[in-house]
Amino acid sequence: MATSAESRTRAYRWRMPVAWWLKSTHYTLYMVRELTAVFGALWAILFLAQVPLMKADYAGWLSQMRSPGWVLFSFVSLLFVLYHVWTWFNLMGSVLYIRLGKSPIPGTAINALMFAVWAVASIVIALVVATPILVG
Amino acid sequence: MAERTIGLSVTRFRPGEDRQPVSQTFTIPYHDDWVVLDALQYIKDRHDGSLSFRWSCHMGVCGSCGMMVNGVPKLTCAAFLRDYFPNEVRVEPLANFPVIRDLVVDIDDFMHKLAEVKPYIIRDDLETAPVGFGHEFRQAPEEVDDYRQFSMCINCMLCYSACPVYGMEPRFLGPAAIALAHRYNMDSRDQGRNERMPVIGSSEGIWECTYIGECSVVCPKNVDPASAIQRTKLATTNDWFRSILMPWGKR
Ligand code: SF4
Ligand code: FES
Repeated sequence: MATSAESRTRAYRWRMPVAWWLKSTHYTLYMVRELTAVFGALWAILFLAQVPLMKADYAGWLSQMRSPGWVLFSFVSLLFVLYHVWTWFNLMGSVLYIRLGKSPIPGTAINALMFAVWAVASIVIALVVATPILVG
Repeated sequence: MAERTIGLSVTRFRPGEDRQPVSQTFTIPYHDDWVVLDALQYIKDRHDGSLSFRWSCHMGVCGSCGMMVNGVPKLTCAAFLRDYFPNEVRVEPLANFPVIRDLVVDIDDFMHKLAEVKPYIIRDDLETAPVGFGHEFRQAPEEVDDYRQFSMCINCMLCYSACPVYGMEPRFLGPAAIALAHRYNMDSRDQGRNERMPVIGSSEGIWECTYIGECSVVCPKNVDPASAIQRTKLATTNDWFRSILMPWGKR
């Protein structure tokens, strides 16, 4: 009878395949979610990097903002960020455990609340910030 | 009518003889009330008595029959052949664990991790409290609900096998151990949270988790270890803020 130490040295060591994240849709979606953060961060950094130009040459900055490349990049980044937000808010229900009296708030209610707050915040931003700029 | 059959491709590995596992295919009678474990038992009885695998209860309670079925971690006593028939079923040892023989994996790592999180009620007053009657710690039903889900774990390790983080970093404490730590931390009778936190909050603990979430998908008992890990992250972060804002306060 082999001792446990012996059998361990003779055991077959399993190794993670490099393409593990292609093995299931869940894993792949997880990788996509992680990638979305890169786009979000990259967009923010590039946008901030252009702020000095906005001060120095506003017209130049505007035309840069309207260039097809930047618009496309922004659009793609937006889609990625929206996906990221979707996954993040849907996670909240399982993270937050709040018991009111005898029963905890259901996770689905927490998720719904997150999306509701998001919608309200977006509307407020649209009305207070964006509309004056667009209307002039 | 000819007897219906189903193919099972099963991983074989003989330590000391095989360099790496190979798969062997068996064709056996198909019964729609058979589970994969029944099929393995049939192979062991009729084809090859040396086929090795673990099981005990045959009813989803003991947690010892976990294997990869078509690449997904499953309790083989709860995986019906009818869900795969007429296709061949691939049975492999639980991923992410060293293979000792055939379908048997080395579970020592998990056993150590389980012990590390002290999965039992810890009280300061156990020594001094009177033994016998009166030596009980009462709990309201809603307090049981706070941890009930996390107490359902049967230590089957399917979650470890589904976790790519554990696959890449075997030092990671892992889903079930953290879920069980959380179960005791949430227990109103327990006072051991501070003893568990150094292990759970270490770099091999909760912070290794990147929320892939597959542990909760494969868990046969709906423990939702992913949620336990994220809740623990939140709780430790709260602790940290509290210790910064109120250094004099003690939990
Ligand atoms: S958390 Fe679920 S999958 Fe993991 S060991 Fe416990 S019962 Fe099994
Ligand atoms: S044999 Fe006990 S859980 Fe499957």
